Amino acid sequence: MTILKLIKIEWFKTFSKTRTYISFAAIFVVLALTFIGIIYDSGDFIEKTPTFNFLNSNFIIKGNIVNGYFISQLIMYFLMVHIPFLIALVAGDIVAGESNAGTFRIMLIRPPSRFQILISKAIVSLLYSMLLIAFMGILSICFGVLIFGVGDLLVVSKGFLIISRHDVFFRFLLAYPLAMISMMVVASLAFLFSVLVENAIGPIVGTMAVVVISVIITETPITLFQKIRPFLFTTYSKVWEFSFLQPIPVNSIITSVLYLFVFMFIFFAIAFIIFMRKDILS
Amino acid sequence: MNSDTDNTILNTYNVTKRFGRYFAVDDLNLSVDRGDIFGFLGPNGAGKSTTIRMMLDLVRPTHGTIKIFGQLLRVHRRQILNRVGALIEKPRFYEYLSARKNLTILAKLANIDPAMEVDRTLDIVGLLDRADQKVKAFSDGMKQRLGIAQALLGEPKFIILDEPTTGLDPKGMIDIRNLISELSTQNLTIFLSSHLLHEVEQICNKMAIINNGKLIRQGEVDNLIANCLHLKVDNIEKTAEILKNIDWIQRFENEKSEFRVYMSKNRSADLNRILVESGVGVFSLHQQLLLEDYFLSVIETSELVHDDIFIK
Repeated sequence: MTILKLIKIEWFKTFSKTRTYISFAAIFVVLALTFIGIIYDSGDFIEKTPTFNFLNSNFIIKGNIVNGYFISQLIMYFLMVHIPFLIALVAGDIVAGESNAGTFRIMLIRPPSRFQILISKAIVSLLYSMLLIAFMGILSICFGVLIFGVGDLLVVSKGFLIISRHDVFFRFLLAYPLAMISMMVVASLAFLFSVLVENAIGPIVGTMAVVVISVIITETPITLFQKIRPFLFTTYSKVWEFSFLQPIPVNSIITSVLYLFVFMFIFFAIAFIIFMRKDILS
Repeated sequence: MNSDTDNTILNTYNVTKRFGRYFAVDDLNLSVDRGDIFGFLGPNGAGKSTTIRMMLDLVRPTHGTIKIFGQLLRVHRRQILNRVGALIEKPRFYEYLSARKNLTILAKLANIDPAMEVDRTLDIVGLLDRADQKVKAFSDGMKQRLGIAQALLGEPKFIILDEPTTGLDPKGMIDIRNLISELSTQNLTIFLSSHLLHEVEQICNKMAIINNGKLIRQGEVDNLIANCLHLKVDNIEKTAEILKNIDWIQRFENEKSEFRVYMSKNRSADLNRILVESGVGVFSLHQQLLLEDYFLSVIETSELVHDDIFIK
């Protein structure tokens, strides 16, 4: 039994469950609500922000700031908390769900080794995460551009940066793969929790608790937190933001990606070590 | 004494499983030969399920080794499990999938072509007409049948069944018993763990009894349950002296004037004659035939098995 066959079986099982489609539906609904809300507001929400007021009072703005690219980039901030929850829904269930259902009793008495079975599940949870982010990206950019049109992208980051409309799409082509990597770390954390417990709720709650606390520590400017930040994966999770800087800080991207892969490796390694030794008593 | 020959399908050597300070299985030595229908008995919590899970590599023994088909389980796991089918307690399936899809997945995991095999096993257990129904709509009895179907995938040579008739109605129980008996005629070896003693008595040729993780008895069913004689006499000391000197008596125990004598088959008339000729008054003598009585008495005394006493 090859790993590829096991992945196909695992993929089939995952996409036979209703829960898998909840995440896609949730993204669709959130995006739809966001677009509807912005249309309803006629972009007023931007004009109410202090940043825009500052811009407006000091510069003459020509063109449309609230364009498809601007909204798509804004939506990427859902990656901080909302999307990790949707990732954990599936990655947290992929092992714990089988333990809870008792189906490991019929699965692990077959010839494929525990290692093969677990690695197929790990790969499927990563592929699922990538698919979810790709779905989000395609939907937000396509519908964003369709509804709000194209334009230059205004980026607020240590100042103001305008990225030409001809350049923005390629920035997204870099940003989304980087976002996939950061969400794959969330998937690996949810996967680890999934191996530790025998119900699917625990991994979801556990993953979200870690993500939320880590984001708070990462984003809060407290001296003590600065010492903890290097050890949190959320410190490197916003690596996709580098895609919208000028010049693109390649070294920073590489460093962040490497750290993210290290976190992913650690989470998966612990999961594998535990699972290989685990007694299946359920 | 365990026999490690080509004819031996399963051997466990001093298998022990400890959870913290608790010994779920303690120094277990089992031997199952080719073609046996082997009954595995014990009260709740005796260690039966833990033993079965160790045989299937779901639980790792703390000590000891397990050989199946003459091969070490921990080394040749894949080759062994390719030829083993098992049903562990209440079977669980992917409830959001149909019976056919569940078995197809399991067949593919075992590199079995599901095309004909899935329908074959569903037909054996009488679920072919419900093959495309989702398992969540199945009754417990139907799930149990499906569990047996998955154990039969790939025509295994060694089948392990843990409580296979749980949840079945009386007709279903009879059907499963008949199925097990039929399977045994196909040169299959069956390891059957059951609470239903009369079930074991009816279909098993060999059995083992465990209690508190320890092996209490092991051997052929006919010998184990037919060779226990209950004896009531008028002279305890003289009787004990006589019994010690008879070589076809394996052992005996007594409580007041009542003896339990474990001996070779069909010697009760001989024993009666010897006792009477020696001047012992025999008030009653009856053969213990029911496995249930035997089981209960064995569990109560929980004597450890001795190699020189019983293994055939």
